[in-house]
Amino acid sequence: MDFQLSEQHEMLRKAIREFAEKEIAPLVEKMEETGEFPLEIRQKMGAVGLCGLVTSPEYGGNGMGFLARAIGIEEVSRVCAGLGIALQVHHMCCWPLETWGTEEQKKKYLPRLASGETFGVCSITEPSGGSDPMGMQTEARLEGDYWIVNGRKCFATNSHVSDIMIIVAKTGTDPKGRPAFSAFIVEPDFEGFSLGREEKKMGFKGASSGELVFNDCKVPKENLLGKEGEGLKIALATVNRVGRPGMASIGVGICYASLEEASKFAKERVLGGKPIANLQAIQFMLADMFALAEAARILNYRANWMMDQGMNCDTEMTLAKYVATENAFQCARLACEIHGGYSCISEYAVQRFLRDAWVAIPSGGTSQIAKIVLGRHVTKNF
Amino acid sequence: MPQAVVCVKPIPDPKEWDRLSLDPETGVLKRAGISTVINPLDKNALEAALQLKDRFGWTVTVVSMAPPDTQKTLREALAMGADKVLMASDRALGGAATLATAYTLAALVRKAGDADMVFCGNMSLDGSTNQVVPQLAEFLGLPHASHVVGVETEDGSTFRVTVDLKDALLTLQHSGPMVLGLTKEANDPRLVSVMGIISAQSKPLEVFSAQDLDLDPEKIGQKGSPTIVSGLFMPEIKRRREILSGEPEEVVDRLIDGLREMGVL
Repeated sequence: MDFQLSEQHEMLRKAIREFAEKEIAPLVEKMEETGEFPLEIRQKMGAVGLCGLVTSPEYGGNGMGFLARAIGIEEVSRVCAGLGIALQVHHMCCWPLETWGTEEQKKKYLPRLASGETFGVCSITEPSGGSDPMGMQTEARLEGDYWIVNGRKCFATNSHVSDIMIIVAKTGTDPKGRPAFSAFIVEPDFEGFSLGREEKKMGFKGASSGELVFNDCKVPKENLLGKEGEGLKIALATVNRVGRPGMASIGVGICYASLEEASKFAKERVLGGKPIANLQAIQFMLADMFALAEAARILNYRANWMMDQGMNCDTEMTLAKYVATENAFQCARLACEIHGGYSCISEYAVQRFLRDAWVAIPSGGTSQIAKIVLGRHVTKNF
Repeated sequence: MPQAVVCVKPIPDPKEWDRLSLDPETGVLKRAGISTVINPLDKNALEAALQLKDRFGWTVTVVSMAPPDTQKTLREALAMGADKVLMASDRALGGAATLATAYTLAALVRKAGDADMVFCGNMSLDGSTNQVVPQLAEFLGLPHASHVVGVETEDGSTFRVTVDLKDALLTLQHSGPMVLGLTKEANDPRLVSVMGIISAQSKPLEVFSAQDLDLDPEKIGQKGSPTIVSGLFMPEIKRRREILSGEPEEVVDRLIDGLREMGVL
């Protein structure tokens, strides 16, 4: 068993940390204030290689893989979780495109995504809910050379900053009479497509999240992703193998950001003539945060390493997501406690970590949904 | 293709400097457990060379005298875009002061082949002597400029070099090889990209011993270093308090006399 990161992965962490501190950190204040996504960061993230981590070099990516992706998203989220989720959902568009796309689709869309020319969307959730995909209302019917799509997706990350979207719609029934779904690649200038409301969120401010509206939207026949009826398989695989580890990586980033801020504050804040870091009450909280952060990171790296090895890792991904996002909230809460009254002031980043961590928990499936998956695994295997 | 040679020094990460200490016996910096980074000004030197690569197709060779465990740090230079690294690593090189360092670096520059330009950081953040650039130039028999804040060229053969003289800026025009010591004002070093990290793994990083470089044992390491750390002390900073009492005029006179004695006035 080898827990040592490779030289390449270590170098990646250093490079992305430097990138995040130089290019992303100066954007955070404005993102928090305005809630606007800084469009210019897409190409910078593309140039440094973040956008193409799970895309093969033949389609313009670098293909460094999922462990690299975990480290990359973690480092971005350590500075700005809002851009962490934008990047992670972007990968949720890249990966199914490369996994199920035709050669033409891959050549057409992946280089633009890998370069950061645009960000991608992968949207399943509808007003009826995201964790019950069978209850999806959006429908598509084939008419001549087009699929005609009707329906509405909500909470779609990158909705208003993307030119390439993957969506899933009901396209009929399977031989057993159950609803069948198919996946489609949609571009915003397709007839019948429009953007709905953009949400104002308590966390991940500056990451665009909103509605995609399909009103007799004409999607060219060749934009079917995978085979007809494979939509649910594509959606669930993407959520399990890309979405959940992405959220886990954001959680790990928030854990360490909280830990660093709390430790720094505790060493600087003097009460009764001594830094509060000398107090056991504070040390206990820092120790808890450290344990939460390390546990989250190790689970997440293991799951992503398994993905890189081609192993079945759906359970490990879910476990990592559940633990890392919950731990992120605990870490951020403890960081706020250590900051005392200062945690209520917007100049102190810990309040942002707390808000971001809260939003990370239901993103990609609530903790309760994760526990259902994990509970089933336990009763089946233990 | 013309070649730019860049001198790079791995130094203890400035973010961890609070963990550094000096061995009171030997005067040597205790670096164990502290990670290394490329000396920040050396990144400016590398950037200047990489711009010549981007614009005129130059080859960029990095040379370094460093312990073997710093190879990972030097590979970052390859990830930034350098083509190869030549590294001198040998116990015999340990304890080198600036003269022995410059002598060794000069051998590496020669090993790299014809250097059309040699770029260095103006100084290393951990040593801060500013001596290696001129010493290296002397060993190579090349002209040099330190405190360089700008390097411009239209054609890749004639260079306008701007030097900060503290009170004025001096612009030199020069053709042919020279050794330049760059400051942080010279440019904005590029960031390492994922593609760079991947390509760095397949680029050559050659390690040479003192013997490989035909170095004179008398001129390397501690032996070849005319400067030694003869003593170490922590400057003692003490507050002195003295309360003067008496008539105001008399107290003021005594205060002024006292300040004069201390050399404050």
